[in-house]
Amino acid sequence: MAGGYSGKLLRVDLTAGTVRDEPLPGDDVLRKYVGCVGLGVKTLCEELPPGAKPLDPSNPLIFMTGPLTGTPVPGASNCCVITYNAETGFTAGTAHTHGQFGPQLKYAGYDGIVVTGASPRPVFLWVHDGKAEIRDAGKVWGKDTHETEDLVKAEVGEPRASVAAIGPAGENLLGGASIENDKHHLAAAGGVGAVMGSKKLKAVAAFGHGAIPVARPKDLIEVTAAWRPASAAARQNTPALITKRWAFFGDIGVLATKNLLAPAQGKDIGHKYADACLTYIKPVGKPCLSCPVACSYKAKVTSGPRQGLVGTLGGGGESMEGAAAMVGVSDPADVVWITDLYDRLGMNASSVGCAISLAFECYERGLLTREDTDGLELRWGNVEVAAALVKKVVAREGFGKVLAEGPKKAAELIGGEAPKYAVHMKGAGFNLHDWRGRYAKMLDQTVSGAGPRHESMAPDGFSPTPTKIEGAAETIAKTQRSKLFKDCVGSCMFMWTGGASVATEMRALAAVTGWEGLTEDEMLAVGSRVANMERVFNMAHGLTIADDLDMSPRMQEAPAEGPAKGHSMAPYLKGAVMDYYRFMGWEPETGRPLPQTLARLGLEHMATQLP
Amino acid sequence: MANNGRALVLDPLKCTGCHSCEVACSTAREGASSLVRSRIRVLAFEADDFNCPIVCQQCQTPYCALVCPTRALVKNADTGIVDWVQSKCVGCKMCLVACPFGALNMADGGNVLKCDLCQGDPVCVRFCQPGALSYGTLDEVGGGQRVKFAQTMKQAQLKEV
Ligand code: SF4
Ligand code: SF4
Repeated sequence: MAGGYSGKLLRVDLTAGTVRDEPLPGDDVLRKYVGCVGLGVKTLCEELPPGAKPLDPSNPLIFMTGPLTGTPVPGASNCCVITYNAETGFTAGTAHTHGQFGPQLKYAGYDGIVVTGASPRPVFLWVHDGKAEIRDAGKVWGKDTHETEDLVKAEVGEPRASVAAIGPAGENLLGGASIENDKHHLAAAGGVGAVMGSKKLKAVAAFGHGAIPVARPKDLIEVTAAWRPASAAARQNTPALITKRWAFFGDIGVLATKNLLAPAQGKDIGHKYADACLTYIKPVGKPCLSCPVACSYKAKVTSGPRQGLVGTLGGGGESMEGAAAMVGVSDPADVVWITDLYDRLGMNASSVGCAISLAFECYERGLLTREDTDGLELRWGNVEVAAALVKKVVAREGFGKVLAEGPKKAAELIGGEAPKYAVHMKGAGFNLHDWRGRYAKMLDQTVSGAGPRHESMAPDGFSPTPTKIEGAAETIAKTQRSKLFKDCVGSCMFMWTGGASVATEMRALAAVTGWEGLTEDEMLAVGSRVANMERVFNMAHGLTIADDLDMSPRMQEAPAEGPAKGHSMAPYLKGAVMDYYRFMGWEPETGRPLPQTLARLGLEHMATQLP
Repeated sequence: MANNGRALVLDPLKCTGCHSCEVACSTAREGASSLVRSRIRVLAFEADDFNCPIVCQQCQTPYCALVCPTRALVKNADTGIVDWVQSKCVGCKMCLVACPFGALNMADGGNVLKCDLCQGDPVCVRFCQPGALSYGTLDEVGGGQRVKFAQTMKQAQLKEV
């Protein structure tokens, strides 16, 4: 067995209540699919029975690490969750999480877990030192994600264990439900929390005394010792500086504000927050395993009405936008409070937040009244009302039932002009920033094979000014290969800021696994394989070009203010999507992978699954 | 290689609890990445935001060596490192108990996991970007504190003038 792998997969059948070990495939397969989304999407394609729906027991919920997970590579903490997407309903779903969970799973002796079936009653899984047990979760069902973590650790008697759990959102099968772990992290997208909830699996706890063999330790130390300081310097490893990034997002107009109506106001929200983090909010960095940066942080409110509040935030800003800025909440302590509420309920603010902000806009425009909203007055900036509505959505209670359907369906249910205001792609949430005017980034999100999300390294996402459509399709097709390769190895994408590249990652992979003669082309083919597997899977489950063009009207409309003022994707969308298909080696009109494209990647056997 | 009288200095207040030093040490010295097979250990008090790195301090009077019945642990007068001599070790674990820091561990096969400063080029220090670990001369060990203290005094004095 190559270095870097624990060598085993854990198979869990929750209908039968059984667990069993299975050896990982051989080196020939591992070199092609590596790990994380590579092995995960392959397993999904092979094992999802025809005709199964995302919330059916037969839909596999796959936790998968990569060979670098748990090693000294910077940010070596990636664990992916792969399943049939419960949010879009017709695509693959992949979510990435970090923290300690992936490494602990490997130290416990497993590279991944494949969960099928559904338990008749709530259970959790305890994976430790080569063993796995299905335990009763009756006492934790209904608890929020943070309480669940603490209770499960107490129950198994190992405070060092890492726990991945769903909250009430997952239990209630919300499309935007996520899986939370180590307080600060969410496997956010793909409706993975709903799939876990449908299996009545409340949590997975992992801990191990084991070690991951490294084939050429000296080489690995050499490569990574040089790489780490560069990443740390580029990402500015103090939380105070990381919180400033949100102010920067505001400056360049990508901070998603008031259902995307007010890009210019994002500046104020971002700056207020960054200033507060230098005064009455104390950020304390909480690094993932082996991370030199620590973009996740505790936000401790030290004075004011919310004094004593401790929010456990991630470093990205998307959840703060979805939970707070999208409904016009600007007070920094309120931002922390409501973002933390989403985390505790276990859901993706990038998605559920768009349904909530839609309701606010419809109310402000008079399309909804108090009769429709169970008496709530949805006025921009009212954090208490937003929180009350969020809880209704999670409980699927009253008006919450409408919004629980996600932004696209909710808009149809509200009716009238509402569909024009909704923010979504393919009916689902995406990596929520106001990407309008950043054409490559917009394209990246809409053509992503795992539902709307980052699947390429679009260079323009955070450019200070809007970009041009020219070259966007080619850039996305090319960088998707490197991003998806990176998504297979087990380390964090942020670690490429500072100069690391496919070549750096490849050297680390070679040192860990011991594989000889790796080439960059071989690595890029790993990424292409993922994109093509996802494409075949999606088309087999009903995706057409119309779905890649399903970017909501608000997303296609030119902002009325801010740096992207006047820039609309609408005239370019179809052409860019078709160009992207062409660069991928797919039929330009349909996005159907050409036989020679599949053959080049050793995926010819998948052609028969295409409609 | 001698360590030229230098010491591995720990500053828990700078430690973020990233565990990089542990995975680096276990990889470099044991050829496998692990949190428990490391010669340095980091105890994380999550709720209190406090993390404490713990490693052999190469004591002047090493209790581990004092209790070792076979003299498998010896203070090397040239390097200042407390050496572990594998051929003499009987695996009795007395040293693990005796170390006041709990800095020693034992691997499954019975090897004592004890820091030897990587014989003068500590790997863990290179993996600690927050700067909680440093490797300096004895003069430098207290140097940081001295400078901090002097600066405080200077500020106080400037205020008075
Ligand atoms: S590498 Fe440094 S900051 Fe990270 S755990 Fe070790 S001592 Fe602490
Ligand atoms: S100096 Fe070397 S042996 Fe000692 S703790 Fe650091 S890496 Fe391990």
